[in-house]
Amino acid sequence: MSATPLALTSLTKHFGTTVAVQDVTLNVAAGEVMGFLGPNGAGKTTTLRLALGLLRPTSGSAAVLGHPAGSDEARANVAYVPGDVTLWPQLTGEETISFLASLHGSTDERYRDELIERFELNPRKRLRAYSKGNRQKVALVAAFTSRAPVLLLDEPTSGLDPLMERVFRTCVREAADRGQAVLLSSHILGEVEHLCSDVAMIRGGRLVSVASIAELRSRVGTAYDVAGDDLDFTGVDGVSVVMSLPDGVRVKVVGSLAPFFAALNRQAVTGLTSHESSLEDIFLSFYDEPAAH
Amino acid sequence: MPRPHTLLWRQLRTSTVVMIGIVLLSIEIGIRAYAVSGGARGMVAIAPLLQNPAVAALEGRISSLASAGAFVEWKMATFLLLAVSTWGAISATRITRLAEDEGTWDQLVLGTTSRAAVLWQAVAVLAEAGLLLGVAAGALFVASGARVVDTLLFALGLVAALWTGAALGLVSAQLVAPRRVASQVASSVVMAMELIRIAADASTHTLAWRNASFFGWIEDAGAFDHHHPFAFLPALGVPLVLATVAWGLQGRRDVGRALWVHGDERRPATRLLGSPLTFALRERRTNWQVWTAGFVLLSFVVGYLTHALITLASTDPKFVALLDRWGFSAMIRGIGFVAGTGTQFSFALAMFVVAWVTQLATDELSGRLDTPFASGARRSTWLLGVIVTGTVAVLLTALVTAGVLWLGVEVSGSVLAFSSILEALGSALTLLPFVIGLCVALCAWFPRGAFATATGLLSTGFLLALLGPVLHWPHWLVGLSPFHYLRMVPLQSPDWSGLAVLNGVGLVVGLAAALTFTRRNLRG
Repeated sequence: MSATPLALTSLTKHFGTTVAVQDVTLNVAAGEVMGFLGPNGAGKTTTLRLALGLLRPTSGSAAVLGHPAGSDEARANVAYVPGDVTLWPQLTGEETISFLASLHGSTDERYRDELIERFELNPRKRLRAYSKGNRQKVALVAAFTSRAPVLLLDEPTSGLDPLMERVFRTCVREAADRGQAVLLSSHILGEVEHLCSDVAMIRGGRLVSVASIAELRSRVGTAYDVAGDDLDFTGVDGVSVVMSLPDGVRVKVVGSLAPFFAALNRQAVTGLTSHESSLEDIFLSFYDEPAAH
Repeated sequence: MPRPHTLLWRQLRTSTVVMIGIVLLSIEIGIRAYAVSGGARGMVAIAPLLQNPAVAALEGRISSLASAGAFVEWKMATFLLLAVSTWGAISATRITRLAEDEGTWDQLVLGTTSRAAVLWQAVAVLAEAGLLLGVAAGALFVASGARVVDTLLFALGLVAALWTGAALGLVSAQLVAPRRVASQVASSVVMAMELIRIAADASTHTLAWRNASFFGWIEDAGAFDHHHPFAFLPALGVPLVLATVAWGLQGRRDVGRALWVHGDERRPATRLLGSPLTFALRERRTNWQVWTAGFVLLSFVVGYLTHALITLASTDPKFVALLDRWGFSAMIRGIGFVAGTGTQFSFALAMFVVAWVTQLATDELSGRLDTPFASGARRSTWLLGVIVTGTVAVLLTALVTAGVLWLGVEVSGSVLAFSSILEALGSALTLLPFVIGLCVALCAWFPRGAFATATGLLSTGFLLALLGPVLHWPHWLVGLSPFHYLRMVPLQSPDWSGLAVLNGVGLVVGLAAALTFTRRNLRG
């Protein structure tokens, strides 16, 4: 059996007395795009830097295709896009892509040229003359061109316009179709919702949830607007009233729907509308209240 | 909320303190050296030396050394004025062009603060730094018993040098970007001004050329010699004019951009991008060219002055006696002069290596190494690339320097074998393993201050080796300097055992540091 493309096991990182990452265990399979969410300072970038071998773990381990993070074999199988691309300002885009490709050892030049065209990048410009979004494109082209089995993307679309974001999504899907494993840290929840099957959520350096978006939805529950007079859901299992509406109430239902529908049957209900939780709702429900989860 | 003025001062305060420290230390050393050499009576021996064109070119023109201040002005002012004006140029580009490159000006010029206002505040900070420096230097002279008028003129000279360097930096920051280029342009103009002064002082026929250099104007003021305070007028006025020019130019360009934008777009050249080793060369090749150009100019001037210096030195018995007392008796022969020059070049070559290797720390702190280290590059290979290319570069530069030095000697009418010059320069390189070890150690354990610390340590070490024996400092203290282990090769045999220990320490420390660098957390 082949090794997991990216495996983080009880990964912990302390900076002096500050706990940046604590006991993070996470696997990303081949062909999987995993979202990595968390508020600012939650430990997302530190986790990625640990997985890249740029930081040494205090305890635990990170492995790429079974090789310890930072080892020659691990580095050869990883491509990385940072949130803020800082490279050599005097090099042109093409020179930078070429240099990063040479570090990986091989490159698909036709695919590189195709990506340069798709991202509408002028490769003859020096990096110092690029906007933030264009510097981001350079790193994205270099990463996708490498065809590395593992892609670690840290807020890769910051600075990209919506059209380029769409190109990015296509590239990620193509990478996943080719069997590349992608860990995508992003604040753009729509992007994660579009691309990721599973989402890992981190808070205060600890992983608070790893689940599919469907599973997270069921955990957070679904909101229903119930219209009618004298509605009462007191004591109904899994149902809580969120707010009053002019013609009824909004309730949140977590878990089985049977008790909720039984309660509806007993009452004079004139209308029912459901609101499926978006990733934003899920994100907020995880991070809005200090001790929610 | 801190005002721009406060923010700008925060960026400069440490280097201002360091620069004031260097100036005060140099002045104090000069005053003590004067006393140790017998004061005004001891200086009678070298009175004829003052009129020698070669000496005048190197040290500047002065009519007598009747006071400690005059001796400091003659022996130290060339170095001090050059150091202070270069620092002014670098500081000016730091608080203006670098801030724009990094985008901090975008924030500063919002709200009620205009772009011009921020620039004027930068001017004010640099002006205040110059005044602080002048006051500190003046206070030390007055405390040592110097006349107030002389002191005032000397301090004004330092202030004028700093202001002119800073004003050149301000103009350069408007014209070119990024900051590295702006600093190089401003520093090159400062260096060109010094070369004009050297050429002017090298002959009585060319004295008028001094009017074309601010170093010449400051020298004309004659702080501890003849008083010509009016000579300061251009030296103090030109910085004001240049600052006004900078202000005028800033209004004609976009924030973050320079007026002269060249080559933002070009045909990609993938030469030297095939491996970390060649990339280290590619990244540093422009700096290498600049350093080599500096070495070529300096070595030619030194070579050209050899004949005049040794002719004078060898024909004046009193001067020979004085050189003997200072331990420089070998310098009355051409080969001795070149051997002595070799030890001086060792410091410059060491600084070249420092700039080359500590670029690694700059790259790491700016986050440039994240992507390559995450995508296949080995940290050990990267470090090795920096060290190997640095070694090759410094060897080639030393070879070119030796060639140009020989050419200068030949043009001046002296005869010296190229092999002797090569031996002298080769000796200057024997500290290379130690210097590289020191730089690697700083990059591994103290990247944030790698360049400044290496520069500080080597400068202190050089001063220790140069002045310690003259001022009778304890042997153990002088022995701490790596430059103490250099000999006047080929007149003397190298101190192989001392060098072996020193370089052994450098290698061991360097290896331990390299190991740390490959394993530690990457900053950025």
